[in-house]
Amino acid sequence: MWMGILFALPAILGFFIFTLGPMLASFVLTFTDLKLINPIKFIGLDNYVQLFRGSDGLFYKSLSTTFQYVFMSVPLNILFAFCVALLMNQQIKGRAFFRTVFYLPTIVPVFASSMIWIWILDPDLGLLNNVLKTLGLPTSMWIYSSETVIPSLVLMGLWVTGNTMIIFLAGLQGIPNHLYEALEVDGGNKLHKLLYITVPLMSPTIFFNLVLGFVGGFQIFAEAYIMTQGGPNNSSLFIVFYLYREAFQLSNMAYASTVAWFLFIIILVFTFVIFKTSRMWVYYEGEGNK
Amino acid sequence: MSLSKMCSIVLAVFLLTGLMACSNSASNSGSSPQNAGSTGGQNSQDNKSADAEKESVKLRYMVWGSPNEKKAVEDYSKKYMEMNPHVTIEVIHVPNNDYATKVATMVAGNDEPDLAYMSEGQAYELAEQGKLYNVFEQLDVDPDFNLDNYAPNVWYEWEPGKALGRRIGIGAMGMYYNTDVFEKAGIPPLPRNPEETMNWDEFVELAKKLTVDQNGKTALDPDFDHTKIKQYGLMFETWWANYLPLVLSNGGGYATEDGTKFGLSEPEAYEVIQQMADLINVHHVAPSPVQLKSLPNLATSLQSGKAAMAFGGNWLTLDLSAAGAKFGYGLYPKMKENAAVILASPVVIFNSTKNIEEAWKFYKFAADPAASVGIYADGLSIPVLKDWLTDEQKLSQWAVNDKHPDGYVDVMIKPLFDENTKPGPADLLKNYSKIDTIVTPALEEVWLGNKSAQDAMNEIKPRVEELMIGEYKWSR
Repeated sequence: MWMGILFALPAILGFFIFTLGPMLASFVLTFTDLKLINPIKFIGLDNYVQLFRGSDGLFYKSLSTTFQYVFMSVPLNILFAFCVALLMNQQIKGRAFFRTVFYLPTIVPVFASSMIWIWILDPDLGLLNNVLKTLGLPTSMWIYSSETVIPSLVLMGLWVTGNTMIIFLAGLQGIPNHLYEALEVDGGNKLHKLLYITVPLMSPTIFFNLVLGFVGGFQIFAEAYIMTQGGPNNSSLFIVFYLYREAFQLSNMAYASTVAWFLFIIILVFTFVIFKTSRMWVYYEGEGNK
Repeated sequence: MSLSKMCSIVLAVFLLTGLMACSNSASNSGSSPQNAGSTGGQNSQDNKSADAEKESVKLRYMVWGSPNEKKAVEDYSKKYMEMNPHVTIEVIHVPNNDYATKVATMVAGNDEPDLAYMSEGQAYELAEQGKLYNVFEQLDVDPDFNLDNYAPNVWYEWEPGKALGRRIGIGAMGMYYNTDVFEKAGIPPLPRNPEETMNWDEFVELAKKLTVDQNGKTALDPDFDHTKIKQYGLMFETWWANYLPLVLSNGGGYATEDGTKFGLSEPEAYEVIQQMADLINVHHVAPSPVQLKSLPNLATSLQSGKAAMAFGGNWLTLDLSAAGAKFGYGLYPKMKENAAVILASPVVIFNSTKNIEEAWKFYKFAADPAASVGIYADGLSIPVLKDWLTDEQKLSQWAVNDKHPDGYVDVMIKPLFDENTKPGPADLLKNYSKIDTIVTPALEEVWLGNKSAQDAMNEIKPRVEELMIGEYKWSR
């Protein structure tokens, strides 16, 4: 017993010292006015009051942009990745090649892919608008207009769903073939296979990806930081970018910690809700035996 | 059983080697500063004969900047060390993006450098915490230190009579133009004499004449196609130093009533901003901020003739000369009176320094272009010492050379002594960095033509004024 704990100690200590410790410290900091360079003073709930009053007009803006992004991107990402995984699960020639191709964007560093997308989405010289123009379709300002910036970032996000796809693919391969055969014997077609076998058996995987998607979606940062700097007119001021700016550009560490904790609670609530509703729609094979 | 035993042995070995590796690297990294320290000590011992009674001193000097700037700083630091062998100066170069965070963490860890470049906002904040040395104390101590030797508007006073430092160098705004384009179009050079500056209508007319579409038609032509512009009459970035000279010229300001009321929501200011936005969206003589992103930077656009004129800082001279561009200078157009801005950030001394005297000596030395004429002669910066800005002989050492075409002194230097030349909000307005996070996005809507300047500025007025808590008063 104690040997086991001893060997796990590096990980346990790492968690306590580098994760839990700083987290608790940051929670305590939310009740102070820490700016890194001043002596700390406890100010009670002032940071929370400031947060909810939203007097700078930016906190609620950042909440709304983040929610818009999450509710657009998470379902789309899952749908897209699921469809790609279905395709990649077919017996086709060069399957390994296609799998690699669809996974490849995921290993491109987000900095590099963002730079590429800045070029692609450029309204005047960008690839996308020029293709649209050649086809006689209307063009868009993409990330340079407050109406289209979030949809553009969602679109970009679809490009890097490789991880979600791989998890789906693993799930698909775990579905036993005899179920499909049984359905064929009963005269079911491909749509029936998808609706009555694939989707129900995949529901735990979808559930898993949904949770990860929400957790990741609320934390979107790099795209806003690299591509838009939160603009135009704060339309891509995501909550983590807002937090970053408060902490590292305006050095309001305590206020930024407050924002971070608020974000933590949002994510917690969402995860909780998804878990609670999961009983209604997630099917576990083992459950029937209970 | 035996398998699990083997596993635990393997793990134990990993753990031990890991620990050893860690402790090794720790002791290595621990020993290196000591090594550095001891070699430093040896050096100073070698030099002790020459520098007998002085104790060896180490100063840490933290700076940002381009590779050019970094090299210039290292050069004059080296020169200083040669002149003062008992002093070792360690130049710590930190990239601009991480600079503020680095300063904050060093301060939090009680590991401040002795001297440092610093952003205006952070410097004021640290000064109010009592972390920065009041350099005006030296006025009583150092007989060589006389404020009359410095240009106006270079000392950052956070309280009356207390200054946290001087500007690193001076920044000034002016107009640039491509001389080839002007000659081809048969247009005389831009005015450099304050009595001949253009009024706004003349300026718009000129910008139209210089804006050309792909069919060779100018913006004055009724058949001008503004969707296919080959050459813009004017190009400008949209941060405050670009519009403020014109706002000041119209009698407006960023803030009014000692920094407690928002100035840009007053007619004198928003009318000017509207007129500038109209250059983009109505007259189509300047690229919008979006188009600006897909165009090469100001210097390259100007050099290649993509833009005929540009609003720009004196530091553009460096890139333009280095690229061999043919360019000239002109004064900003005026609304009512000629006006200009002065900008750039301070360099400070930390109170925590152990050698205030040595730090101060180096501080004075670093301001003197004689030590490092390079950054000035190459076009990056303007010296803060007055005689380098007024004395013909000294000017000829840096501002009158092939890297600074004619007009530099008239456009960038002479206005510095004009009483209508004012520091910007970053220098004077308390809480500016926070205020800016509201103002800049609102202005963006104006530059993009989505909102009128009047509406956009009035909309944010209450939120901005809530953050406005006054301004710093500079005595000189």
